[in-house]
Amino acid sequence: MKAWFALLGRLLWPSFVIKVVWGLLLLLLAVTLLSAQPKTVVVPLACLMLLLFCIPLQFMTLCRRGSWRLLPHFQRHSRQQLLLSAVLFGCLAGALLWLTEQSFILGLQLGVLAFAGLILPCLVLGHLRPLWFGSSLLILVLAAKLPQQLPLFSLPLFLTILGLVNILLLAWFALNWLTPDTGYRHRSAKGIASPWLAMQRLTRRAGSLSGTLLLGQGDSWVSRSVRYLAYCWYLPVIMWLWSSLFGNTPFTENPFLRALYIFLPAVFLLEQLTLMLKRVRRAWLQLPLSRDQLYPMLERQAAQHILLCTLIVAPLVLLVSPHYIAAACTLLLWPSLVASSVLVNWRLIQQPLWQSGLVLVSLQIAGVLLLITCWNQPQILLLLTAALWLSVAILRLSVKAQLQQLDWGQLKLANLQTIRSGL
Amino acid sequence: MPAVIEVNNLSRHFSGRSVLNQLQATAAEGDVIALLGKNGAGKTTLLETILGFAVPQHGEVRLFGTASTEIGAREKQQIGFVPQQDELLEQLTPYEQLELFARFQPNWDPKLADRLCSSWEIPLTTRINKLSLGQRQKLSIMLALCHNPRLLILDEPVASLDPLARRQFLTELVNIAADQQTTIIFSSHIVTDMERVANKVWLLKDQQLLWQGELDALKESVVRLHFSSTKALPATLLELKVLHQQQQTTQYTLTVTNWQPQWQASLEQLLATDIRVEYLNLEEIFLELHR
Repeated sequence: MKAWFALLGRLLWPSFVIKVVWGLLLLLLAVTLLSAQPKTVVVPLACLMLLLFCIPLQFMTLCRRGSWRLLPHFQRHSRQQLLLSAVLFGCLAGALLWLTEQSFILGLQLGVLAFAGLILPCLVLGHLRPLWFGSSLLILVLAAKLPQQLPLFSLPLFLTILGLVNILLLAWFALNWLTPDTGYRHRSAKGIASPWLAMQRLTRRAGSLSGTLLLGQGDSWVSRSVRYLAYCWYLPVIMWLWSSLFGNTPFTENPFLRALYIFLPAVFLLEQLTLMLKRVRRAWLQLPLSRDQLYPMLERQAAQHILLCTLIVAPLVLLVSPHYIAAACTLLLWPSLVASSVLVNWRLIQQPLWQSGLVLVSLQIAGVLLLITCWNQPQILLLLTAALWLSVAILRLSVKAQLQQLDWGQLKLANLQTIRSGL
Repeated sequence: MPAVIEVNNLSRHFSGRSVLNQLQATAAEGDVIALLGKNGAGKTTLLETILGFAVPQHGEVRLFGTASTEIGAREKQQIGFVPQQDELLEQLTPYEQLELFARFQPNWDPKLADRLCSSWEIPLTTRINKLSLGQRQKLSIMLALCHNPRLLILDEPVASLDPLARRQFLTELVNIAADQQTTIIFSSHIVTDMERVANKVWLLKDQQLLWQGELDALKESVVRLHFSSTKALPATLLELKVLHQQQQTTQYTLTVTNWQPQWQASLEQLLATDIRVEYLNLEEIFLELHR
């Protein structure tokens, strides 16, 4: 039981700062409930939901590395606690809807669906793709105004369907959470020829050993281009298909979606370049250079990635921009925003995931809002671009000095040690 | 020829806590060094500092004559490293990972790789993220061995291996050390394994190397003395340092360091009794030194 609570503590408040945030939000919750305007409780409630939504992602590292096998009871306890978190998140969502005078049960089901459909698959699969794809799907559903068509269904029927989907998702998670498959599975000749595996081979093609170890996947130009093409175009293509098939408004019409098309690839690229620094330890003995030469190499690699991705995103920007001047300004802004975000994340590389994640999310939200509001104001976009390049120039000096002294061993072990210490 | 590893006054500390303090050590070609120490003694920190993962706060480490913080491609190609937690590419199969290393490592030995794959039964077509810990560890060891390194550093390499795989690995290690004069440093808590292959010992205690030298010399130095005496023991026994003393009526058992066989006669004369000298194995020595 002690181990169960120790793990729960690690899951819900992995650091002192998170503990403080929990405390503050609960306090705010109590204050707003007792205040004259009890409906303001919606704000701390929504913040609590956001916190509960993001915290479990820390388990991904553990799942990916397989080091959970060293921790007794971890699998069973963490499974129970993550399932409980899904229900808790559902209850918070239900309370939120209830406060806005809607059905509690509907909120509960939607909350569980969001948690079980977006967060739990990330944990099982060990990467963030389900979150990205799930979010895209959600945007798609909202953009297609699907919720407005809900009255076509009866509420009990809808809730029953949602409940069944939720049970299936939770059961899938419970059955697949940290189950080691140690059997020998020989791939059949037919399997190797399948298009999916052929695509995997394409994206795994290595240009160099050190580059592949740094990226965690193929570093050849072909592999990178295929990946970035997918990152940049999957959402616009889905939306284009949707609008073509269902005759909705053109997929470039909505300013929020337009901004999202452009900034979603930046998020993928940023995640990849941030992880690249974390993987230096793994690649260290294969990197044909000394510590002094490391930063210039990493910078060169990042610049190549940003340039390639900018080239791939450029046609998209031209397609969705209202006019060429806006497109040109956006194309100048895009790499500057990515470059500055990468350097901020590199600077914060020793900080906990939630801190660098917060910076990342804030920068991206700022970018999206900026593109929505300043789409037709090229001067502002240009000014911001200049400011971002200036910040890049300053940040690179600081990061360069930091990398000279960085302990790659500490960087790698931080998460695991903090998790272990509580068990 | 410079030593393969030279550690000069090395100090490392984290958040004000000293982990390594003024360490001095050297390793020459052909040395097989067992790195011993309790959990948290600083073994991994020492190994990572040797490999240049971190910059020491004081002192320096030289690898093949070059400061570990300045090692480049030439030095790195001569190093094989098995970390405590493997760093494999999860989405690849062992075959793909081995192929990747074979393509880019100039000294890759395909015959050795093939032999190890077959004798260690590595499932070549299963994705690495589906392998068991033991299988992953075997693959990590293969990646460190198959480019014929001059320096091999293994941080807890056998923790997840079954006894059979451990025995195979140790045999492989002995062969490599004998054939190629490779310098090997490995840390493990399975001390019996280390005793089987090591010819030198680095023993970390209290941020220092308590022992740095030949394994045989250590085993001759730390012994248990059994004798019976009705008299109280003198305050000092020659130049021996008593680690542990046990007395049952007139029967004494002393664990001592700095033992020299020629002292037995003098000691017997001093205590006016016969002394039986018990030589300890490495595990017992480790335990005695950490009492």
